[in-house]
Amino acid sequence: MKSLKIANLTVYYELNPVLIDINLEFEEGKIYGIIGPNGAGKSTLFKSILGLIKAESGEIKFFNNKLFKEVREKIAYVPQKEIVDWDFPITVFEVVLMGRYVHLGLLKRPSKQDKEIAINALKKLNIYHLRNRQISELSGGQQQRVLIARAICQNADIYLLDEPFANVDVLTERNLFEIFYELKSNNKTIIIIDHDLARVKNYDELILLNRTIIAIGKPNEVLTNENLFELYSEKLVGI
Amino acid sequence: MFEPLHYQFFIKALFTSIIIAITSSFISPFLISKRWSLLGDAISHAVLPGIAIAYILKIPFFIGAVFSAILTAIFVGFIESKTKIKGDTALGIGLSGAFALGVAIMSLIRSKDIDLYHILFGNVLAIRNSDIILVSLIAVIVIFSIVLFFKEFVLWTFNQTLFKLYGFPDSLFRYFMIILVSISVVSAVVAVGIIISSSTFNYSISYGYLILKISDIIKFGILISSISVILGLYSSYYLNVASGPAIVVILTLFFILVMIISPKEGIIIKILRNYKRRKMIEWQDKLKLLYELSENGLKVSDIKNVEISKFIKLGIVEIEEDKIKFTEKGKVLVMNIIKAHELWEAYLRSHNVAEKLEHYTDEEIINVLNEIIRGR
Repeated sequence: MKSLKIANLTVYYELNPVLIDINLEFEEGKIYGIIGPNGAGKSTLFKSILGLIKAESGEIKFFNNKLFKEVREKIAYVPQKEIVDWDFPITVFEVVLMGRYVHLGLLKRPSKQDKEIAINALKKLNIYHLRNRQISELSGGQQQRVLIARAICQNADIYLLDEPFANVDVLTERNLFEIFYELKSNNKTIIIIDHDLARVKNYDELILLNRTIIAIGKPNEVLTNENLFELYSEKLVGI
Repeated sequence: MFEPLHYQFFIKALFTSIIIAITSSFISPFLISKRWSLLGDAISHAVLPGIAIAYILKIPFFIGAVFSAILTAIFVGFIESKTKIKGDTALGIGLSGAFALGVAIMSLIRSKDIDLYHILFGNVLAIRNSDIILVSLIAVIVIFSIVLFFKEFVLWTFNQTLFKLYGFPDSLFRYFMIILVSISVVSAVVAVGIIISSSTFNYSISYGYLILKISDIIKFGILISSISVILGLYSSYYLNVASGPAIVVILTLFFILVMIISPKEGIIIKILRNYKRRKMIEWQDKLKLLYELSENGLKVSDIKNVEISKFIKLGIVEIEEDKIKFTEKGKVLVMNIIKAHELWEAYLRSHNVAEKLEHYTDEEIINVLNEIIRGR
């Protein structure tokens, strides 16, 4: 079943088009990889999906024609870890528990059950032993695990992950893929922004994005020389 | 010690100052975490035009102060969101603009009824009953709001994007926080004056980064700032120094003390940690040396530089017929270091760097290195 449909999405940043006429459909139970050069609009695509950026035109619908604000608890976002304030005085457990807040709304405090869900997410990411640490004491790989644990804790159906493999070690990378495969087998939709062509074989579908969609399909089918040239050549910049 | 407590003015001052200390302890952890610590500063200066205008309009000073504080805060937010000027610069503009306007209006009125010196530096020892009621009322509002919306304020301060995504009202909480900051700054101005109130805020929040959780920072802030207030007022009474500055000087001394003895990031703990690390490296190097010597079949009597008795006591080596022999436990220990060295040298192709890194390599790192090297 389709979990996310993007139709004719165009986004401007000031006077420059960042995304031009994007049409994409995502299905349940699949892992999608989005690759493209810097400034290709990958993060902008996520922000548009999440309603953080106003689109010039286009339509973004979830599940059965629902808007983001109708299904926000079903959509988990893992931002690039660089934009999180890792000096903030807060423990690993508290950050992961925040994943439950979307279900709580104003004023309600996390229940015992919410805390159990957070503990399970911590265990799944192998960071349970770090639960009482301040987040400033974590390594890059551990920070990434914390952010993904928070998304898992939200118990969403669609996961948007912006560069989850940036600066993480080999073991973390493997651990994360195991988790993504498990989510996939539970019929979730996983969409990952990546920059490393060596990893793309792990994705069910690969989207080559450079302001427009250059190609979409099975990794080995779309990674042709022509497509890669188009993806990384600068000829589109002048639009 | 109880002598000053016979005077009503002293008890009033003590009570008011402690209330203000508690109020600002609830607000400041959020300000510093949000990198908004200058906001308290800006707002405290921004009350001046409000006080002056309130005097002209013959309304209570408090209303004018709050009004101009909130207006300035909104103005600063507007500059920040509508231009490319960064937050600290925007605050600077708001601060100096409002303060200058205030001084200008004051110079126009030239009244004997309001004393600029008192507004700037405060006079907690001359506090009125109406001020006490005002300060207490603000404390109740601020503490009640923070406790009630604690979860929301933490999420909003930590991760505004997530706050929005989760459907919480972002702008509403922004103004909510600005109003809470404004009214608590105004209450501080009443007691300790503009100049001092801004520093009170900055000092109490500086403890923030030394502690684990926001809720603990609040508790710690209440403790430290209340003690500072009490000590400050006492020293003001006995040494005859101005009360506001005395409080801030003591806050600063406390800050320096915390900086030195903090169990997490304190200077003493850092020196200790460095010492321990040096000792560990020395010990591991000796262990390696001893292993090499034992492999070469050297006799105990040949070894002069290493104290073997220590290693024997720890069950790392044994002596057989005057020869050094590593126990199983000892072998595991030394092999881990050697293994780490080999892996680093294979990975980085540098003996010297491996010599340093081998001391900081735990099992997890060894696994990762193994992975990488095998993958090559």
